[in-house]
Amino acid sequence: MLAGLLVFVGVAHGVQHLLGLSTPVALGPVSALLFAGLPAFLWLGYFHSQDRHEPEPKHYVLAAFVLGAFVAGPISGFLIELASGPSVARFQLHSLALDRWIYALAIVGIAQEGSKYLVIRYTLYLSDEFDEPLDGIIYMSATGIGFASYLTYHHLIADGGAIYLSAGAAQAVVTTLAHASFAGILGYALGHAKFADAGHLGRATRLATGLILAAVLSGCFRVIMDALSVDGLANSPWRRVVFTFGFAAAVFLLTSVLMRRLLSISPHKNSPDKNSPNKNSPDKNSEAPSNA
Amino acid sequence: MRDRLRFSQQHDLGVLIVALALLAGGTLVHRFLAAPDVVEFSQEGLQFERPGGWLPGQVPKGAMSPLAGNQAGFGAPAQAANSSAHLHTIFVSPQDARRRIEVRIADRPAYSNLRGALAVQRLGDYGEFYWARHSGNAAIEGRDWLRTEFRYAFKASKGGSPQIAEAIEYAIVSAGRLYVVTLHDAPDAVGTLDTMIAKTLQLSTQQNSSEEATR
Repeated sequence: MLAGLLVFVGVAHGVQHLLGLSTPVALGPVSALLFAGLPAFLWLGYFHSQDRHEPEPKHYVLAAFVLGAFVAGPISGFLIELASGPSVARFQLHSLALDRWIYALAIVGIAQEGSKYLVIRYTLYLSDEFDEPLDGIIYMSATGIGFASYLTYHHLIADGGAIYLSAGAAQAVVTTLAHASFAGILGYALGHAKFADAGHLGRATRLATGLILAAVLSGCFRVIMDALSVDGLANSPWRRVVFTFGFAAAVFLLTSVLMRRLLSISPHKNSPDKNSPNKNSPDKNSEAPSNA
Repeated sequence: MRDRLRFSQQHDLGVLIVALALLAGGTLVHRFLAAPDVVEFSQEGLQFERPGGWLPGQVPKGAMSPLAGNQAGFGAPAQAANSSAHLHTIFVSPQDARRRIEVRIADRPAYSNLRGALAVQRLGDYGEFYWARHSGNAAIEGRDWLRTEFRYAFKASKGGSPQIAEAIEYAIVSAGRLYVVTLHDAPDAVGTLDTMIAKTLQLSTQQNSSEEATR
């Protein structure tokens, strides 16, 4: 999967050089959909493959992706537009002014992560398939990937679809990774809240903490995208890719550590491998695994 | 009551309340921090409040847009109708060249129909690429202003892409002078500027009963 992502960026880079494209290229709706969708499906495959002990049903993971793209995305867009206020008074000029931080953390961060939380907490969280803490990360990261596809597609269309092919491909990969990772952090809290014996208040505290942490990360990512990646008046798309990749990679590492931790304590750790050729054997359910 | 509490606990509604409270709080703080500083414009008896962070007032040197200039000679001196102007200045937002406040104070037009005189002026400013949407009276601070909404094609510079801009023009004749304040912006944004500025329009001159705005 990761190699596929590198190939995706490499192909875009190669096409740009072969065709001698030194200016942004206009993408139509179909190519924008491909640009947003390809890295999404590769990341989706990667995160799903991490669920080794009891892989979640693919149609459930796909449902989480669809919820992220078609429900969480529009909800967050609506909330952000509602909260942003009139454009005359939208921002102070300094790129790191306090009002930009407030906007990124408390408006964009909460709206984006809150809408991801909403679509999973009241759907898949309640299902029987959500049967171990790791499932929180798996489903939430799928939602984050769907959400990122929505953002990338709308970003490409809003700008008239004009991008530098290689930098645009890399940015699509990074944005998808970032939103999958932020949602993964929230998913960790979701899984922990569902299976920890902590009462209603404890569960709500865990969920709220996860949501706020994910919102802070999402807000910081937004500030990096908007402010730190701008070099004066120059348009430097690779600078943005590098800065955002650094941040997204750090959050991804944290999510990976949390995933490994949950994998190591998975209740399905010692159950028969569902992917093995014998997974449908009549003996599978006849006896509990070794911890019985 | 107990059922409601149980429902709320089962569905973790407290988390949603926290999220909505943060969103609402963030919105209020952001709007407070991002609200533009306001400064007072006061010239020749005309007063209103305008955003302070905008570029200093400039005197327009030709047509309002190179598109109009293509028809009427862009870069040429201001229109003949402006020759009687006591004051003609434009404040431009640093964020969007379409976002502007234009103030024109001139001798009252010899043409007795104010609507007609203003329409001729706009035709000179914007050429063929202008059309009026709506015109009517607006009472502000006890004065009747002639309020006209119009749209026009705009280019920020000679090489720029044409865009549609919308303007709301407030005009009044008082003490032998014509006062025109025009708010320009993108069609979906001009309402914000209108809400912000129109209510602060004030005129400290004596208005003769014969000088009706809509005449």
